[in-house]
Amino acid sequence: MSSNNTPIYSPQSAAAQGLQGCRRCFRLVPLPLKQCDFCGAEVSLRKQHAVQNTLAYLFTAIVLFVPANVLPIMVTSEFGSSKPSTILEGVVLLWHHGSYPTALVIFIASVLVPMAKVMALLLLCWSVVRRSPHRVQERKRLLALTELVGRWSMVDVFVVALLVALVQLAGVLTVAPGPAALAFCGVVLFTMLAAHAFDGRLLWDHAVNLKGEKVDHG
Amino acid sequence: MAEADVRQSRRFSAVWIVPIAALLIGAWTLVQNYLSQGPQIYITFATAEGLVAGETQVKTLDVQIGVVENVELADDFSSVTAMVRLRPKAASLLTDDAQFWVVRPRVGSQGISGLSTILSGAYIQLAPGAGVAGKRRYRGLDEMPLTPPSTPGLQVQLLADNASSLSAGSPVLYNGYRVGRIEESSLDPDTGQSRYTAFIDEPYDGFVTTATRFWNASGIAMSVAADGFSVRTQSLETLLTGGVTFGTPEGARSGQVVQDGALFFLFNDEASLSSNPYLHANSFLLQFDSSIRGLEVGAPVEYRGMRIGTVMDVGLQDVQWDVLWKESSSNQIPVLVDIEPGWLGEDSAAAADAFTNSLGDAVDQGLRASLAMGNLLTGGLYVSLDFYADAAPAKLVDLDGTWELPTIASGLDQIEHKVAKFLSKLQSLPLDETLDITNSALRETQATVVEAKAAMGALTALLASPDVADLSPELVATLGQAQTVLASFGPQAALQEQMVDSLRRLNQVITNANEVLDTYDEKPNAFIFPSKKRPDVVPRAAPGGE
Ligand SMILES: [Zn+2]
Repeated sequence: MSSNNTPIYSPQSAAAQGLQGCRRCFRLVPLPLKQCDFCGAEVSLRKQHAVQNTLAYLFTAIVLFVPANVLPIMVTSEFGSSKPSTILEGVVLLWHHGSYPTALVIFIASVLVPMAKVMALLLLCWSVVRRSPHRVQERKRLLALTELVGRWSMVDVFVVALLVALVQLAGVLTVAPGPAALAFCGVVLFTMLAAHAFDGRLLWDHAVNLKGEKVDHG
Repeated sequence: MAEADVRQSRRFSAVWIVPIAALLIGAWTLVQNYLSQGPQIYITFATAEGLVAGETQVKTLDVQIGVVENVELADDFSSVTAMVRLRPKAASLLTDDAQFWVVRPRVGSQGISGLSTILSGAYIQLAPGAGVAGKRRYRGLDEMPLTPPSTPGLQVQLLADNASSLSAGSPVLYNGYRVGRIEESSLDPDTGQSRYTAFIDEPYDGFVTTATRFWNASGIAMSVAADGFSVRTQSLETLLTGGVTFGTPEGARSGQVVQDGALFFLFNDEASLSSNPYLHANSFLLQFDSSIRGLEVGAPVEYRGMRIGTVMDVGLQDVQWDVLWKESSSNQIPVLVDIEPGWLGEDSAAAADAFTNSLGDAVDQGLRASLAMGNLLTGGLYVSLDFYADAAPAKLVDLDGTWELPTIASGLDQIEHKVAKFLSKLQSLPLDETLDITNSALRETQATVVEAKAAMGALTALLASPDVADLSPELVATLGQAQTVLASFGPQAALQEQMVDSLRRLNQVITNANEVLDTYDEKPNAFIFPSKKRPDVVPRAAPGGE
C-alpha cells in the first residue's frame, strides 16, 4: 500500500485538490470525470441547477399554499349539516375554545413553518445568486434548521388523517378531508424537495476559495 | 490542475415544469369551478335568524341544491339579504313564482314541523313554482307557506268587521269537510277590518261562486229561545283553532265562477247570514215628512215584499235649531238605506251600479219609497218601495255619491186615515139599542135555562128515589114490550099492511057476492042453466007513443 493513498488532513477542499464527491456512493472522483468510476452515477462538483430547482420547487409550494389555506382542509358533518373549515378557521376555532396550545401547534406547524421554510430557502437562494461572502455560519445554520423542521410540518395532514379515521360516527359526526388537505401535502412535499434540491456548499463557495482560504471580497 | 468551475449553469432547469404545471392545474381548477358554478341569487329575509354564511343549505324536497354564501344587512337596515349559490342544475327551479322560506322548528296548530332543524340548524327551503325561470332576486317568506305555489285551487279574500280567532292555518270547511285553509290574516289599519286570505283546494274550489257566503265557524254558537237552548259547533278543530265555513244560502241563485283573489264578506256566524248586508251596496237617502217612530237601523228595505236592502242610519245630524223649527214642510227626517243587489242576484259592484241606473227610470215612472208597518204589535216600520201612479213627479238626485230617492207619504198616513174613518162609523152605529135587545134576549134565555135546570133537577130526583130504582127492571121490560106492540101498530108496520090488504080483498069479495046475489034474485036456475047472454037492454018507448 502506498503512503500516497492514506488520507491526509488538508485544510483545502476536495474541489481544490481536484476531486468531486459521488452523491450515490460518496466516493471521491477526479474532477474531469462526468461519471463515477465506481458506481457509474453522474457526478458533478455542485448539484446541477441547484438554485433554479430550489426556486422552482419553492414557487410550486407557494402556488399550492394558496388553496391549502383558502379551501377547507376538512368537512365536519354534524347531525346532517356539513361544516367545512379551513386551516385558519380551525386555528381560530380552537383559540376561541381555549385550546391555546393546540391552536399554537397547528398554527406553527401548518402556517408558520411552511412559510418560514419558504422564506428561508428564498433568502439562501438569493444570497447564493448575489454571491454573498458574509455570514456563512448563520446561513449554514439556517439551512440546517430548515431541513430539521421540515419533517414536522406534516402535522396538519396527520391530524386530518387521524380525525378522518377516528371520527366516523355515522349520522352524528363524521369528518372528511377537504381539498386543502391535498394542497397542503403538496406544500410540505415541495418545500422538502426545495430543501433537498439546494446545495449547501454553494453557501460558502464565494466565501472560501477552492483552496480553503477565506477570500476577502472587501 | 485546472481550477474547478463551481459556477452554476445558466441553462434553464427542467424542474420549472413543476410550478408551471401547478399553476396550470390551479388555473384550470379555478376556471372549471367558475364555469360549473350555479346561479347566484339574493333572498331578502326579515331576519337572519339561523342563517350562517357558508353553512346554511338551500334545499328542495330535502335535497341540497345550494348554500348560503353571505348574509348581509340590506341597504335600509330593515332586512337581511342572503346571497345563495345554487347548483347549476337548480337554475331551472328559479321560476318567478318560486318561494323561499327558512325552515326552523315550529310548533303550531298544524303540528310540529322542522324538528330536524333543532340539531342540524335552519335551512332555506325552495318551493319551485310553475312560472318562467330566470329570476335572481327573491323576497323570502317569514313562514312556511301553507299552500305551495302552483297548487291547483282558488284563493279568495275574506273581509270581516271584527277580528276573530282565525289565524294562518285555520281550516276552511264545506259541509264539515276540510277543503282549504286560511293562509294569511291581517288587520287593515285604515278600516279596522280583518282581512284573510283563504285557499280552497281543487276540486272543491268549484263550490265557491259569487253566491257563496263565508262565515266564521269558530267556537261555539249558543242561543236561547222560546223553544229551548241550542248549542252548535263545527268540529273540535275549529273549536280550538277557529275556522271558516262556506256555503250557498238556501234559495240563493247560483252564482258565477269567481276568479282568483275574489273578495267575500266573512259573516260572524251562520245566523247573521240572512240579516247581514251583502258586500256591495249603494247608499240612498230618503227624506220622510211623517214620523219615523219605529224605524230602526237594520230594518229591511223591500220592494213589494221582497227584501232588497237595509236601513243603515236614521235621524238628523248636526241640526240647526232655528232651521228645524222654521218651516214644517222642510223638516224632513233623513233615512239612509243601502240597496244590496245581492238580495236579488249577483253581489257585485257592477250589479249595484246597474241597479242604481235602473232605479232612475223607475223613479220617473213613479217608484217611491214609503214607510210601512212591519209589525203591528211592536210598531216596527220598514221601508217599502213601490210604484204610485198618482205620485208627484220627482227625480233620482245624485248627492255626491249618495242618491236621494223620492219618498211618498203613503202607507201609514193612509192607514191612519182609514182607521179613523172606521172608528167614527163604528161610533155612529145604534150600539146601545142592539145591546138592550141582546140583553133582554139573553135574560129570557137565562130564564129558560133556569126552568130547564129545575125540570132536570126534578127528573134527577125522581130517578134517584129508591122506588124508581126498585121498579126499574120490570119497568124497563114492560116498556120494551109496549114499545114492540106500539111499533107493530105504527104506520110502517107489517101487520097493518097485511090488514089493509085483507080488508081490500074482503071488500072485493063482498062486492062480487052482491053481484051473484042480484043474479039469483033475477034467475034462480042460474046455477044449473047458465044464462044466455042477454042482449043489451034497449030502452023501450012508451007503447002508443010512436
Ligand atoms: Zn459513485
